[in-house]
Parts: sequence; C-alpha cells; structure tokens
Amino acid sequence: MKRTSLIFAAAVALVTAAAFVAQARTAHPRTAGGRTVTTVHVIEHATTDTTVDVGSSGDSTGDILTFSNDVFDETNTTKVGHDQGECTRINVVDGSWECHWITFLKGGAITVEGPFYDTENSVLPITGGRGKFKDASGSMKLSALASGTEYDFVFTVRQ
Amino acid sequence: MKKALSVAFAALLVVLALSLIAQARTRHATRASTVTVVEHATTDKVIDTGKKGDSTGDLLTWHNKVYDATDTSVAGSDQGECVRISPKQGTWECTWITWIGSDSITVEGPFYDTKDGTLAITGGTGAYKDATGEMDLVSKNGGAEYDFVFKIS
Repeated sequence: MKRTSLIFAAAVALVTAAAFVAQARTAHPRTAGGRTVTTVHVIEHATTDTTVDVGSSGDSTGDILTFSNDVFDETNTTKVGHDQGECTRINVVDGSWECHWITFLKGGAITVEGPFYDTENSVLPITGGRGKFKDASGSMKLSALASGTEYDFVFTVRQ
Repeated sequence: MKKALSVAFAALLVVLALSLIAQARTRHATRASTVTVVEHATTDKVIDTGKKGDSTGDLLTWHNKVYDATDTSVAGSDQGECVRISPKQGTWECTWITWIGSDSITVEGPFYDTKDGTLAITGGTGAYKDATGEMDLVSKNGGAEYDFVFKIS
C-alpha cells in the first residue's frame, strides 16, 4: 500500500509538473496580453514647423507640414530628445491634417500616426518603436501649449 | 502517511485547476477578431504634384464616412493619404486612420487602381490599442464604396 501510494503521488507530481510546463509556455503570450504600460510625457518646442504649399495656392488639401524639433522633459526644462515627421493637409474647413512622425528619446524611439487639428487636441495610435520602446503599441495624446508653439506628447506605451 | 498523501494530492489538483484556468484566460485574451465597415468615398481628391497629369508623387487625400457592415448606419469616419507610386502599374502607397465610434485603427499599405489589396494594421486606440494584423480593401460599386475588413490579431 505504501509503495502504491508513492507511485500514485509520483504520477500526480508528474501531471502537475506538466501543467506547470504548459503554463510556462503560455506565460509569454499572457504577458503580451497583459502588457506593461508606461507613460512617457515630453514637451515639443515647435520651432521648425514648415508648411509646403502643394497643389492650389494657399492653404489647401495636399499641403505638407514638416518638422524636426527638440523635445523636453515634462517640467519643460531639460532637453531629452527630438522628433521629425510630416503631415498632409486633409481638410481646410475642418482644420485637419494626417501625420506620422518619430520621437527620439534616450534609449529608443516611438512612432505615431494619426490626426492633428488646427484648433483642437487629438489622440494618435503608436505604430511602433525601437530600443527600449521596441514592440510598442498604445496611443499618444497631443495637446497644444502656449498657443501652439509647444505641444504635450503624452505616450501611453504598451509593451 | 496516507492522509498526508491525500492532502498533497488535493493541493496538487487545485494547482492544476488554477493552471488550466489561467491558460484558458490567455487563449481568450489573444483571440483574433474581424471588424468590417463600408467606406463611402465621397471626398477623394487627387493633388497633381511634379509632372502635370497622373505621375509619380501625386497625392490622394480623403476624409469619408464609414458605415456598418450592412451599409446602413454611420459607424465612424476616416482620413488619410496616398502617394502615387506608378501610374503604369496603377499603384499608390497609403496611410490612414479609421475611427469606429471613439476608437481607431491605423493602416499602411498599397491601393491599386484596378484590383483589391491588403494593408498592414499599424496600431490603434481604445478597444484597438494593441491591434496588429491586416485589412482587406475591397472595391464596390465601381470604386464609390470600399469594404474595410480589419482582421485584428
């Protein structure tokens, strides 16, 4: 009986170990499903924004806006990186642009794509990243400061 | 000894059950989904850049309404742009965002004058904040409408 119990216990332990192995194998996707969320807040100084007049003369659909600006920490005192990107004018009446850009920060970079508006704030999806932001998804809230001379970039990075 | 083994056995069964529940939750969390909307292409505009007429570098922009899969109710809107790659091959390279309710999905990829295409999903917000996968772009009614079939993984 004692030997039978030991064999039974060993079998149960084996089944349990197999269950743990299976769980370990799914731990990676579960971690991906319950991603780590990091908030990164920087402030862009929009000193280089340039509109290129394309198509009809003056403000019109198809115009291009380019920029390559410095970004500062959330206290707006220390430079922590820079960005570069472009927007295409979609609708003058709505004040809408469609943009994509990259923000370079210490240890990595984050890319976004989405809307920018002349007179309201917006949220853009994060489309990727590199370095410490590799595999990033999530979104970035874009808010105008100081009459549009500066912009809050608040990235909610999911990895 | 027998009692101790029984207790150990029961404890192991609990651990096993919890492990299987966790595994089932993971399967649910990673389950793929398909979202279909129908775009009414009413604002599409080509901007002639570079050489006059249809030429590489021309821009195509739009900001259209999108309807539900039955094409009856407005489900959201979109906006985006394409750059003409090759008039001869009828190719454009595009990026756009589609809002479905207050959530959004971005895509990037090809659009063809005379055939359907598939674009990569590059991101999203709200319910689609971790979206990856692809979107089938299917022309309807001679290009007046387009099916956007987001296959989100």
